Amino acid sequence: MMTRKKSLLFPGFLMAAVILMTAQSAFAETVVFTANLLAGNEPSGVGGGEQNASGSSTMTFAITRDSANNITAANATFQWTLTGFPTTSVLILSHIHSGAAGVNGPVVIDSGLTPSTSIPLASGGVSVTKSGLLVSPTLMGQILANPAGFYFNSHTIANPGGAVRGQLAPQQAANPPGSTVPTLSEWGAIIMGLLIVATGLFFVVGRGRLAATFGDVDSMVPTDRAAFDGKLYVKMALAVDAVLGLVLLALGAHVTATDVIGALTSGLIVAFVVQMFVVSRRR
Amino acid sequence: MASALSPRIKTLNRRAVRYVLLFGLIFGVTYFLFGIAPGVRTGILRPYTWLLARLVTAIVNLFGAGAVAAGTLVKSERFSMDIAMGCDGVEACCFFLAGVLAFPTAWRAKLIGLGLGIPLIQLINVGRLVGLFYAGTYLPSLEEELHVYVAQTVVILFSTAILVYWLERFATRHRPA
Repeated sequence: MMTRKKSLLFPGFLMAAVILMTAQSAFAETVVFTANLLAGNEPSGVGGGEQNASGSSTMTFAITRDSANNITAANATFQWTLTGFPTTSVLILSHIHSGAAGVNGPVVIDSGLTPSTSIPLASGGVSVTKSGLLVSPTLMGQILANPAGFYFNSHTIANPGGAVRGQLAPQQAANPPGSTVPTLSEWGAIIMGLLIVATGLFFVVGRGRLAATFGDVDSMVPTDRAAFDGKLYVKMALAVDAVLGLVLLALGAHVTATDVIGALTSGLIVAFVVQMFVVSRRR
Repeated sequence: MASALSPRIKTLNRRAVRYVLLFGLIFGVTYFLFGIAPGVRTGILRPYTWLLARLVTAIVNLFGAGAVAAGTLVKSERFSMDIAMGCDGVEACCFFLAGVLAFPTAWRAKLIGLGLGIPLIQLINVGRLVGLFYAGTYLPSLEEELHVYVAQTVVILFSTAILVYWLERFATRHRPA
Protein backbone atom coordinates (compact mmCIF):
# COMPACT_ATOMS: atom_id res chain seq x y z
CA MET A 1 0.00 0.00 0.00
CA MET A 2 2.80 2.34 0.95
CA THR A 3 4.66 1.55 -2.27
CA ARG A 4 1.53 2.29 -4.28
CA LYS A 5 1.22 5.64 -2.58
CA LYS A 6 4.84 6.38 -3.40
CA SER A 7 4.25 5.30 -6.98
CA LEU A 8 1.43 7.77 -7.26
CA LEU A 9 3.51 10.61 -5.86
CA PHE A 10 5.25 11.21 -9.15
CA PRO A 11 2.14 11.52 -11.31
CA GLY A 12 0.62 13.66 -8.58
CA PHE A 13 3.65 15.90 -8.68
CA LEU A 14 3.44 16.14 -12.46
CA MET A 15 -0.23 17.03 -12.28
CA ALA A 16 0.52 19.72 -9.73
CA ALA A 17 3.22 21.08 -12.02
CA VAL A 18 0.80 21.10 -14.94
CA ILE A 19 -1.82 22.89 -12.86
CA LEU A 20 0.71 25.46 -11.68
CA MET A 21 1.81 26.09 -15.23
CA THR A 22 -1.82 26.49 -16.25
CA ALA A 23 -2.23 29.10 -13.57
CA GLN A 24 0.53 31.11 -15.19
CA SER A 25 -1.51 32.00 -18.26
CA ALA A 26 0.09 35.22 -19.34
CA PHE A 27 -1.72 38.30 -20.47
CA ALA A 28 1.44 40.15 -21.25
CA GLU A 29 2.28 40.06 -24.92
CA THR A 30 5.37 41.18 -26.74
CA VAL A 31 5.20 42.20 -30.36
CA VAL A 32 8.21 43.21 -32.40
CA PHE A 33 8.34 45.29 -35.56
CA THR A 34 11.34 46.12 -37.68
CA ALA A 35 12.01 48.84 -40.21
CA ASN A 36 14.71 49.04 -42.85
CA LEU A 37 15.75 52.68 -42.81
CA LEU A 38 16.83 54.25 -46.09
CA ALA A 39 17.39 57.82 -47.17
CA GLY A 40 15.72 56.94 -50.43
CA ASN A 41 12.44 56.26 -48.59
CA GLU A 42 12.07 59.93 -47.64
CA PRO A 43 9.38 61.36 -49.98
CA SER A 44 10.78 64.87 -49.74
CA GLY A 45 14.30 63.78 -50.64
CA VAL A 46 17.49 63.99 -48.59
CA GLY A 47 20.40 66.39 -48.87
CA GLY A 48 23.52 67.34 -46.95
CA GLY A 49 25.51 64.36 -48.14
CA GLU A 50 23.15 61.98 -46.34
CA GLN A 51 21.66 60.46 -49.49
CA ASN A 52 23.41 57.12 -48.93
CA ALA A 53 22.55 56.82 -45.24
CA SER A 54 20.72 53.77 -44.01
CA GLY A 55 19.91 51.88 -40.86
CA SER A 56 17.57 49.51 -39.15
CA SER A 57 15.14 49.82 -36.30
CA THR A 58 13.64 47.22 -34.01
CA MET A 59 10.57 48.32 -32.08
CA THR A 60 9.47 46.04 -29.28
CA PHE A 61 6.02 46.61 -27.78
CA ALA A 62 5.05 45.16 -24.41
CA ILE A 63 1.28 44.91 -24.44
CA THR A 64 -1.06 44.16 -21.57
CA ARG A 65 -4.52 42.81 -22.25
CA ASP A 66 -7.54 42.26 -20.02
CA SER A 67 -9.51 39.06 -19.78
CA ALA A 68 -11.60 40.10 -22.78
CA ASN A 69 -8.39 40.44 -24.80
CA ASN A 70 -8.66 44.22 -24.99
CA ILE A 71 -5.40 46.13 -24.87
CA THR A 72 -5.21 48.00 -21.58
CA ALA A 73 -1.65 49.33 -21.70
CA ALA A 74 1.42 49.28 -23.89
CA ASN A 75 4.94 50.57 -23.89
CA ALA A 76 7.68 50.44 -26.46
CA THR A 77 11.43 50.01 -26.69
CA PHE A 78 13.16 51.39 -29.77
CA GLN A 79 16.55 50.08 -30.82
CA TRP A 80 17.90 51.62 -33.95
CA THR A 81 21.20 51.70 -35.78
CA LEU A 82 22.26 54.27 -38.33
CA THR A 83 25.16 54.00 -40.79
CA GLY A 84 26.54 55.73 -43.86
CA PHE A 85 26.15 59.30 -42.58
CA PRO A 86 28.79 61.98 -43.04
CA THR A 87 30.87 62.35 -39.91
CA THR A 88 29.48 65.86 -39.47
CA SER A 89 25.85 64.69 -39.22
CA VAL A 90 23.94 65.12 -35.99
CA LEU A 91 20.91 63.01 -35.07
CA ILE A 92 18.25 65.18 -33.44
CA LEU A 93 14.97 63.24 -33.50
CA SER A 94 13.55 59.77 -34.07
CA HIS A 95 9.88 58.83 -34.05
CA ILE A 96 7.21 56.55 -35.30
CA HIS A 97 4.87 58.45 -37.58
CA SER A 98 1.58 57.38 -39.05
CA GLY A 99 1.58 57.26 -42.82
CA ALA A 100 1.93 54.79 -45.66
CA ALA A 101 5.09 54.47 -47.74
CA GLY A 102 5.79 57.68 -49.62
CA VAL A 103 3.42 59.72 -47.47
CA ASN A 104 4.41 61.98 -44.58
CA GLY A 105 2.32 61.87 -41.43
CA PRO A 106 2.23 63.07 -37.83
CA VAL A 107 4.43 61.75 -35.03
CA VAL A 108 2.61 59.13 -32.96
CA ILE A 109 5.40 57.77 -30.72
CA ASP A 110 8.38 59.89 -29.79
CA SER A 111 11.68 58.23 -28.87
CA GLY A 112 12.43 60.98 -26.38
CA LEU A 113 15.42 62.15 -28.36
CA THR A 114 15.41 65.95 -28.71
CA PRO A 115 17.66 68.54 -30.36
CA SER A 116 19.01 69.33 -26.91
CA THR A 117 20.01 65.68 -26.44
CA SER A 118 21.20 65.31 -30.03
CA ILE A 119 23.76 62.67 -30.96
CA PRO A 120 26.72 63.59 -33.21
CA LEU A 121 27.37 60.84 -35.77
CA ALA A 122 31.14 61.34 -35.66
CA SER A 123 31.80 57.79 -36.80
CA GLY A 124 29.15 58.00 -39.49
CA GLY A 125 26.61 56.07 -37.49
CA VAL A 126 25.26 55.21 -34.08
CA SER A 127 23.22 52.65 -32.19
CA VAL A 128 20.57 53.97 -29.85
CA THR A 129 18.11 52.33 -27.45
CA LYS A 130 15.17 54.12 -25.84
CA SER A 131 12.78 52.22 -23.62
CA GLY A 132 9.69 52.82 -21.53
CA LEU A 133 7.93 54.78 -24.27
CA LEU A 134 4.23 54.93 -23.48
CA VAL A 135 1.80 53.93 -26.20
CA SER A 136 -1.94 54.45 -25.91
CA PRO A 137 -4.07 51.28 -26.21
CA THR A 138 -5.92 52.77 -29.19
CA LEU A 139 -2.70 53.53 -31.05
CA MET A 140 -1.31 50.10 -30.17
CA GLY A 141 -4.39 48.50 -31.70
CA GLN A 142 -3.97 50.57 -34.86
CA ILE A 143 -0.30 49.59 -35.22
CA LEU A 144 -1.10 45.92 -34.71
CA ALA A 145 -3.89 46.12 -37.26
CA ASN A 146 -1.87 47.89 -39.91
CA PRO A 147 1.87 48.19 -39.20
CA ALA A 148 2.56 49.22 -42.80
CA GLY A 149 0.56 52.37 -42.10
CA PHE A 150 3.32 53.58 -39.77
CA TYR A 151 6.97 54.38 -40.30
CA PHE A 152 10.11 54.97 -38.26
CA ASN A 153 11.88 58.19 -39.12
CA SER A 154 15.21 59.59 -37.96
CA HIS A 155 15.90 63.28 -38.38
CA THR A 156 19.21 65.13 -38.54
CA ILE A 157 20.20 68.77 -38.49
CA ALA A 158 20.87 68.56 -42.23
CA ASN A 159 17.50 66.92 -42.86
CA PRO A 160 15.08 68.00 -40.13
CA GLY A 161 12.17 66.60 -42.14
CA GLY A 162 13.73 63.14 -42.07
CA ALA A 163 17.03 61.60 -43.15
CA VAL A 164 16.19 57.90 -43.17
CA ARG A 165 12.87 56.14 -42.84
CA GLY A 166 11.24 52.74 -43.15
CA GLN A 167 7.76 51.28 -42.82
CA LEU A 168 7.05 48.98 -39.90
CA ALA A 169 7.01 45.26 -40.66
CA PRO A 170 6.05 42.53 -38.21
CA GLN A 171 8.96 40.49 -37.01
CA GLN A 172 8.75 36.86 -36.12
CA ALA A 173 10.74 36.89 -32.90
CA ALA A 174 11.13 33.85 -30.77
CA ASN A 175 12.02 34.52 -27.22
CA PRO A 176 9.57 36.75 -25.40
CA PRO A 177 6.31 35.16 -24.28
CA GLY A 178 3.01 35.96 -25.95
CA SER A 179 3.42 36.87 -29.54
CA THR A 180 6.58 34.87 -29.89
CA VAL A 181 7.12 31.17 -29.61
CA PRO A 182 10.45 29.48 -29.00
CA THR A 183 11.31 25.96 -30.16
CA LEU A 184 9.10 24.82 -27.32
CA SER A 185 6.45 26.97 -25.69
CA GLU A 186 5.59 26.42 -22.03
CA TRP A 187 3.07 23.77 -22.98
CA GLY A 188 5.41 22.31 -25.57
CA ALA A 189 8.09 21.92 -22.92
CA ILE A 190 5.67 20.32 -20.46
CA ILE A 191 4.37 17.87 -23.05
CA MET A 192 7.82 16.98 -24.32
CA GLY A 193 9.12 16.49 -20.77
CA LEU A 194 6.17 14.27 -19.94
CA LEU A 195 6.57 12.28 -23.17
CA ILE A 196 10.28 11.69 -22.55
CA VAL A 197 9.59 10.62 -18.96
CA ALA A 198 6.69 8.40 -20.03
CA THR A 199 8.80 6.80 -22.77
CA GLY A 200 11.69 6.13 -20.41
CA LEU A 201 9.38 4.74 -17.75
CA PHE A 202 7.68 2.52 -20.28
CA PHE A 203 11.01 0.88 -20.98
CA VAL A 204 12.01 0.77 -17.31
CA VAL A 205 8.71 -0.31 -15.76
CA GLY A 206 6.33 -1.28 -18.47
CA ARG A 207 8.59 -3.66 -20.30
CA GLY A 208 9.93 -6.50 -18.25
CA ARG A 209 12.39 -7.26 -21.02
CA LEU A 210 14.84 -4.78 -19.61
CA ALA A 211 15.91 -7.04 -16.78
CA ALA A 212 16.06 -9.98 -19.17
CA THR A 213 18.24 -8.18 -21.67
CA PHE A 214 20.59 -7.36 -18.85
CA GLY A 215 20.81 -11.09 -18.20
CA ASP A 216 19.16 -10.64 -14.83
CA VAL A 217 16.72 -13.51 -15.25
CA ASP A 218 15.83 -13.67 -11.57
CA SER A 219 14.47 -10.18 -11.55
CA MET A 220 12.71 -10.55 -14.88
CA VAL A 221 9.05 -9.70 -14.94
CA PRO A 222 6.93 -11.92 -17.18
CA THR A 223 6.35 -10.21 -20.48
CA ASP A 224 3.23 -12.14 -21.27
CA ARG A 225 1.29 -9.60 -19.28
CA ALA A 226 0.60 -6.38 -21.07
CA ALA A 227 2.20 -3.21 -19.76
CA PHE A 228 -0.75 -1.33 -21.12
CA ASP A 229 -4.26 -1.83 -19.85
CA GLY A 230 -6.59 -0.07 -22.27
CA LYS A 231 -9.62 0.04 -19.98
CA LEU A 232 -7.58 1.28 -17.06
CA TYR A 233 -5.97 3.90 -19.26
CA VAL A 234 -9.33 5.21 -20.45
CA LYS A 235 -10.50 5.47 -16.84
CA MET A 236 -7.31 7.20 -15.79
CA ALA A 237 -7.39 9.57 -18.75
CA LEU A 238 -11.00 10.51 -18.04
CA ALA A 239 -10.22 11.05 -14.37
CA VAL A 240 -7.07 13.11 -14.93
CA ASP A 241 -8.60 15.21 -17.70
CA ALA A 242 -11.75 15.70 -15.64
CA VAL A 243 -9.63 17.11 -12.81
CA LEU A 244 -7.71 19.29 -15.24
CA GLY A 245 -10.98 20.36 -16.86
CA LEU A 246 -12.29 21.50 -13.48
CA VAL A 247 -9.09 23.43 -12.86
CA LEU A 248 -9.39 25.07 -16.28
CA LEU A 249 -13.02 25.94 -15.59
CA ALA A 250 -12.03 27.41 -12.23
CA LEU A 251 -9.46 29.59 -13.94
CA GLY A 252 -12.17 30.68 -16.36
CA ALA A 253 -11.28 33.69 -18.44
CA HIS A 254 -7.57 33.31 -17.76
CA VAL A 255 -7.49 30.15 -19.86
CA THR A 256 -6.69 30.23 -23.57
CA ALA A 257 -7.43 27.57 -26.16
CA THR A 258 -3.74 26.65 -26.08
CA ASP A 259 -3.98 26.10 -22.31
CA VAL A 260 -6.93 23.74 -22.82
CA ILE A 261 -5.18 21.73 -25.53
CA GLY A 262 -1.90 21.67 -23.60
CA ALA A 263 -3.49 20.66 -20.29
CA LEU A 264 -5.66 17.91 -21.76
CA THR A 265 -2.78 16.50 -23.81
CA SER A 266 -0.58 16.52 -20.74
CA GLY A 267 -3.37 14.80 -18.84
CA LEU A 268 -3.39 11.96 -21.37
CA ILE A 269 0.34 11.40 -20.87
CA VAL A 270 0.08 11.61 -17.08
CA ALA A 271 -2.76 9.07 -17.20
CA PHE A 272 -0.53 6.75 -19.24
CA VAL A 273 2.21 6.98 -16.61
CA VAL A 274 -0.24 6.38 -13.74
CA GLN A 275 -1.78 3.32 -15.40
CA MET A 276 1.70 1.96 -16.05
CA PHE A 277 2.54 2.13 -12.35
CA VAL A 278 -0.78 0.55 -11.42
CA VAL A 279 -0.29 -2.27 -13.94
CA SER A 280 3.24 -2.90 -12.69
CA ARG A 281 1.85 -3.20 -9.17
CA ARG A 282 -0.72 -5.73 -10.32
CA ARG A 283 1.81 -7.97 -12.05
CA MET B 1 3.55 -16.19 -7.91
CA ALA B 2 2.54 -12.63 -7.17
CA SER B 3 4.17 -12.63 -3.78
CA ALA B 4 7.32 -14.17 -5.25
CA LEU B 5 7.48 -11.44 -7.86
CA SER B 6 6.81 -8.63 -5.45
CA PRO B 7 10.45 -7.84 -4.57
CA ARG B 8 11.31 -7.85 -8.28
CA ILE B 9 8.52 -5.42 -8.99
CA LYS B 10 9.78 -3.27 -6.18
CA THR B 11 13.17 -3.32 -7.88
CA LEU B 12 11.58 -2.13 -11.11
CA ASN B 13 9.68 0.57 -9.27
CA ARG B 14 12.86 1.68 -7.57
CA ARG B 15 14.44 1.88 -11.02
CA ALA B 16 11.49 3.93 -12.19
CA VAL B 17 11.68 6.34 -9.30
CA ARG B 18 15.44 6.60 -9.79
CA TYR B 19 14.89 7.28 -13.51
CA VAL B 20 12.40 10.04 -12.78
CA LEU B 21 14.56 11.66 -10.11
CA LEU B 22 17.68 11.45 -12.27
CA PHE B 23 15.74 12.83 -15.23
CA GLY B 24 14.60 15.80 -13.17
CA LEU B 25 18.06 16.40 -11.74
CA ILE B 26 19.89 16.13 -15.07
CA PHE B 27 17.32 18.26 -16.88
CA GLY B 28 17.49 20.87 -14.12
CA VAL B 29 21.27 21.05 -14.24
CA THR B 30 21.57 21.07 -18.04
CA TYR B 31 18.75 23.55 -18.47
CA PHE B 32 20.35 25.81 -15.87
CA LEU B 33 23.65 25.54 -17.72
CA PHE B 34 22.34 26.02 -21.23
CA GLY B 35 19.10 27.89 -20.66
CA ILE B 36 19.78 30.20 -17.75
CA ALA B 37 23.47 30.58 -16.89
CA PRO B 38 24.37 33.95 -18.42
CA GLY B 39 27.95 33.02 -19.35
CA VAL B 40 26.83 30.08 -21.47
CA ARG B 41 23.91 31.97 -22.97
CA THR B 42 26.00 34.91 -24.08
CA GLY B 43 29.25 33.06 -24.73
CA ILE B 44 27.95 29.97 -26.52
CA LEU B 45 24.26 30.15 -27.34
CA ARG B 46 24.19 33.68 -28.72
CA PRO B 47 26.99 32.92 -31.22
CA TYR B 48 25.16 29.69 -31.98
CA THR B 49 21.96 31.59 -32.80
CA TRP B 50 24.00 33.80 -35.13
CA LEU B 51 25.30 30.64 -36.78
CA LEU B 52 21.74 29.32 -37.06
CA ALA B 53 20.64 32.60 -38.69
CA ARG B 54 23.39 32.26 -41.27
CA LEU B 55 22.60 28.60 -41.87
CA VAL B 56 18.88 29.30 -42.35
CA THR B 57 19.71 32.23 -44.63
CA ALA B 58 22.05 30.06 -46.71
CA ILE B 59 19.40 27.34 -47.02
CA VAL B 60 16.53 29.63 -48.04
CA ASN B 61 18.82 31.49 -50.45
CA LEU B 62 19.52 28.20 -52.22
CA PHE B 63 15.93 28.53 -53.40
CA GLY B 64 16.18 32.22 -54.22
CA ALA B 65 14.64 33.77 -51.12
CA GLY B 66 16.99 36.75 -51.29
CA ALA B 67 17.38 36.82 -47.51
CA VAL B 68 20.19 38.35 -45.51
CA ALA B 69 21.40 37.51 -42.02
CA ALA B 70 22.01 40.37 -39.63
CA GLY B 71 23.02 39.07 -36.23
CA THR B 72 20.24 36.73 -35.23
CA LEU B 73 17.87 38.19 -37.80
CA VAL B 74 16.97 36.52 -41.07
CA LYS B 75 15.52 39.26 -43.22
CA SER B 76 13.94 39.38 -46.62
CA GLU B 77 11.74 41.95 -48.27
CA ARG B 78 8.61 40.09 -47.22
CA PHE B 79 9.45 38.71 -43.81
CA SER B 80 11.96 38.96 -41.02
CA MET B 81 12.60 36.35 -38.38
CA ASP B 82 14.64 36.61 -35.21
CA ILE B 83 16.35 33.41 -34.16
CA ALA B 84 16.64 34.46 -30.56
CA MET B 85 17.80 32.30 -27.71
CA GLY B 86 15.00 29.85 -27.09
CA CYS B 87 14.70 29.20 -30.83
CA ASP B 88 17.84 27.12 -30.71
CA GLY B 89 16.36 23.77 -29.73
CA VAL B 90 18.28 23.76 -26.46
CA GLU B 91 15.26 22.85 -24.31
CA ALA B 92 14.44 19.90 -26.53
CA CYS B 93 18.07 18.76 -26.40
CA CYS B 94 18.11 19.11 -22.59
CA PHE B 95 15.00 16.91 -22.33
CA PHE B 96 16.52 14.34 -24.66
CA LEU B 97 19.87 14.42 -22.89
CA ALA B 98 18.18 13.95 -19.50
CA GLY B 99 16.09 11.08 -20.87
CA VAL B 100 19.18 9.32 -22.21
CA LEU B 101 21.50 9.90 -19.27
CA ALA B 102 18.88 8.95 -16.69
CA PHE B 103 18.11 5.64 -18.37
CA PRO B 104 19.79 2.63 -16.73
CA THR B 105 22.07 1.39 -19.47
CA ALA B 106 25.75 1.31 -20.39
CA TRP B 107 27.68 4.54 -20.88
CA ARG B 108 28.58 3.46 -24.39
CA ALA B 109 24.90 3.28 -25.27
CA LYS B 110 24.30 6.66 -23.65
CA LEU B 111 27.10 8.23 -25.68
CA ILE B 112 25.65 6.73 -28.85
CA GLY B 113 22.28 8.17 -27.90
CA LEU B 114 23.63 11.64 -27.34
CA GLY B 115 25.84 11.52 -30.43
CA LEU B 116 22.90 10.42 -32.54
CA GLY B 117 20.04 12.30 -30.96
CA ILE B 118 21.28 15.81 -30.27
CA PRO B 119 22.56 16.51 -33.81
CA LEU B 120 19.30 15.07 -35.20
CA ILE B 121 17.19 17.30 -32.94
CA GLN B 122 19.25 20.30 -34.03
CA LEU B 123 18.72 19.28 -37.65
CA ILE B 124 14.98 19.09 -37.04
CA ASN B 125 15.13 22.54 -35.46
CA VAL B 126 16.91 23.97 -38.51
CA GLY B 127 14.18 22.43 -40.68
CA ARG B 128 11.60 24.01 -38.41
CA LEU B 129 13.23 27.45 -38.77
CA VAL B 130 13.42 27.14 -42.55
CA GLY B 131 9.79 26.05 -42.64
CA LEU B 132 8.74 28.98 -40.48
CA PHE B 133 10.60 31.39 -42.72
CA TYR B 134 8.61 30.15 -45.70
CA ALA B 135 5.41 30.12 -43.65
CA GLY B 136 5.98 33.74 -42.69
CA THR B 137 6.74 34.63 -46.28
CA TYR B 138 3.96 32.80 -48.08
CA LEU B 139 1.36 32.03 -45.40
CA PRO B 140 1.60 34.94 -42.98
CA SER B 141 -1.97 34.45 -41.78
CA LEU B 142 -1.20 30.87 -40.76
CA GLU B 143 2.35 31.44 -39.55
CA GLU B 144 1.44 31.77 -35.87
CA GLU B 145 -0.64 28.57 -35.89
CA LEU B 146 2.06 26.70 -37.79
CA HIS B 147 4.63 27.91 -35.28
CA VAL B 148 2.60 27.14 -32.16
CA TYR B 149 0.98 23.86 -33.14
CA VAL B 150 2.63 22.21 -36.13
CA ALA B 151 6.32 23.06 -35.68
CA GLN B 152 6.37 22.25 -31.97
CA THR B 153 4.50 19.02 -32.51
CA VAL B 154 7.02 17.98 -35.15
CA VAL B 155 9.94 18.73 -32.80
CA ILE B 156 8.32 16.88 -29.88
CA LEU B 157 7.27 13.81 -31.85
CA PHE B 158 10.54 13.46 -33.76
CA SER B 159 12.59 13.89 -30.59
CA THR B 160 10.50 11.26 -28.82
CA ALA B 161 10.78 8.97 -31.83
CA ILE B 162 14.57 9.31 -31.73
CA LEU B 163 14.51 8.40 -28.04
CA VAL B 164 12.31 5.36 -28.72
CA TYR B 165 14.66 4.27 -31.52
CA TRP B 166 17.64 4.62 -29.21
CA LEU B 167 15.89 2.72 -26.40
CA GLU B 168 14.93 -0.11 -28.75
CA ARG B 169 18.12 -0.28 -30.74
CA PHE B 170 20.84 0.54 -28.22
CA ALA B 171 19.76 1.16 -24.63
CA THR B 172 18.14 -2.18 -23.91
CA ARG B 173 20.98 -4.14 -25.47
CA HIS B 174 23.66 -3.05 -23.05
CA ARG B 175 24.22 -3.85 -19.42
CA PRO B 176 24.04 -0.89 -17.08
CA ALA B 177 27.40 0.60 -16.29
